[in-house]
Amino acid sequence: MSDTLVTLTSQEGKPEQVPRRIAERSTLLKNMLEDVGESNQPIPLPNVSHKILKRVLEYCIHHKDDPQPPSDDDKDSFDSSRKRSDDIDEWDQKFIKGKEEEHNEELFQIILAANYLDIKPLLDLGCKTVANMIKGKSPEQIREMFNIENDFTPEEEDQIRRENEWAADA
Amino acid sequence: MQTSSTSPLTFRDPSLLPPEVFHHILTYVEACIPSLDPVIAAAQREAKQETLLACARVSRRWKASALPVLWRDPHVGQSKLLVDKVILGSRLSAVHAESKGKSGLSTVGLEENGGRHEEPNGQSAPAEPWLGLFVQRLDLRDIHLVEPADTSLLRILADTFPNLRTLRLKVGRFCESTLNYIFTKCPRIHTFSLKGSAFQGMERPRDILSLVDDDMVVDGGGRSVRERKQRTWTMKTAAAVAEGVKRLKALDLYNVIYEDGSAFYSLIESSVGPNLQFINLGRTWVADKIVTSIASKCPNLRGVWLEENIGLSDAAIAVLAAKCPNLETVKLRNCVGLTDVSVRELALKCRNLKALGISYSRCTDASLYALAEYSTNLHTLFMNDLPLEDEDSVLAFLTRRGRKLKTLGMCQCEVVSDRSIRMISEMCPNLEELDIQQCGDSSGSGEPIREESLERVIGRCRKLKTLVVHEVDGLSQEYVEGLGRRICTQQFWLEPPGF
Repeated sequence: MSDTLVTLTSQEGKPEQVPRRIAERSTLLKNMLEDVGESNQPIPLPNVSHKILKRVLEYCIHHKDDPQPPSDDDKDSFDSSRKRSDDIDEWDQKFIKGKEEEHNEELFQIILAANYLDIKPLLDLGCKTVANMIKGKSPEQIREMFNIENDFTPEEEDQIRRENEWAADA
Repeated sequence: MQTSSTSPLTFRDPSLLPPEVFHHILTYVEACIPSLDPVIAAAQREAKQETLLACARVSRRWKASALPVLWRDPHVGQSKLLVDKVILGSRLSAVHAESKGKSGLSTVGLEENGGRHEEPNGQSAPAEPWLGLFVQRLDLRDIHLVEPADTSLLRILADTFPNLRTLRLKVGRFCESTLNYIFTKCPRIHTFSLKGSAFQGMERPRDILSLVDDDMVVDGGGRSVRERKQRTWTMKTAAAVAEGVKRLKALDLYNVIYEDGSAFYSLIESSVGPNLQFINLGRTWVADKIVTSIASKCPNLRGVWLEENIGLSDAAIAVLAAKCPNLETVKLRNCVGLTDVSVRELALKCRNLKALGISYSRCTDASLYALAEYSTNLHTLFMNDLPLEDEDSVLAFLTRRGRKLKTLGMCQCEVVSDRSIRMISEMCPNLEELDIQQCGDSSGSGEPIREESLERVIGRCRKLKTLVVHEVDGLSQEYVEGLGRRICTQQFWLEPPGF
């Protein structure tokens, strides 16, 4: 049954056929497929463009044999301290980097798609990538990188400084 | 702050992603590369805090997501002044929140009201909670507090950070009234660590820690009279501590010395329950009675640290193995009363055993054969200075269990020769850490460890990060020094998770 083909329909209505076990890298799709049982009905994905769907499937095909990640319920209270963002393998790095001129929007869309489709390793990859872009940067550098306007009043900035003095002094 | 090599591209503001996704990103900003080096670890935590503070200063939207992450685990290192500043920051935010008519000091749990409050127009808007509510972990083990001088500080901490999940303290002469207060004010604590260095030597407060019954003393007239002494650490006088301990998932009392009849340990022993998954009683001098009692009450234990408790016998470990079949990590380093019986019981009954430390015990070749036979999930073994008689036991272990091994510490094992090293290169593709300091038979009867064999280990164990080879006969000083430039050669040990 895992070799049967599943049809996914992107935002634009374009169909994309993939083996079921590839589609099942997405927890959302896995649950949907389990619920509907044997069916040839295409699955609409109105939140995912065809271009991003292809990229997501590219990731799923590469990682088709990976063990399913443990659910958060299975993790104990100590795991949070063991999170790290530097453990991205070479293929994943190249994948998430994509084409430089499209990197900006594509990274954002891949994160959104991974979140919607519930593909935890891909969501982690996207989030780690953004986290690594932020690390070590000043507020001004972060604003510049993401084109963000500083909407604080001087009083609010002063309040943040006073309340968080310990973090600056550490 | 590092100088940015800013790309000409600008990216879409990640704070426009769904809030839970942006929060997820910030938790990776918070993440540090694990390091056993305290200096590196402290520098990483400081860098993390600096970045999170920078995030909080980007915009209002970023602030709303970054401050909870920044405040979740404030790193104060050895500075009492920083503790004061964290408290002050929290108090300032509370005053600010109250002045804006939003949630104030009366708010205990963010989850309880969902972090929202009613605006005057009846619409729900995000509350601006005081920052102390975000604090979930507080590690003050590097700050030596002493009661009663620091009692007020400890109580203020409990008042200011009511959502603490993890609390680590180093307190001399700690009192039950203070711990009662902490566990009452912070009912969510599930990981509690009390560093016990204050209880060494003459500083040990017998009057506080010992269950003292009425003593018979001789008065001025030569008559025996009963002198009343207050009983402390009872289920009645330390009821909140007992309730708090019952809730714990992890308890660390490393070096809080046990004494026969100690009321403190009687209370702990009576209070622990099935929630407990990890307990560190290393260097406490606990005896069989305490360990067997705790094992009987905590069937869900996954990790037990009992190092340097020289009074422990195989009988206690047998009960531990029988009552706690889910054990994954057991550290018995320097428990000189333990023999192969303990290891066999653990190997037979705890089939999910993943990490075991039996260095400097009386375990012999039979232990290695038992682990080879039964411990199919073992990935970490520390067996330094075991009185092994035959290298065949090492080879048998490597043959059966080598594939899963990630960490192997076998320093000062004389039977380990070049045969074992060659076997490691063939059987341990997943090895990450290897310690063979002072291995090899100084009498020269075994095959000396050769540099070519170590090179083969480095070449074939592709995940190897650490290789400790000091004082190994047959290796030149030049080779050892050169190795240090290619791979980490620092000592490693079995670290308690999260402690």
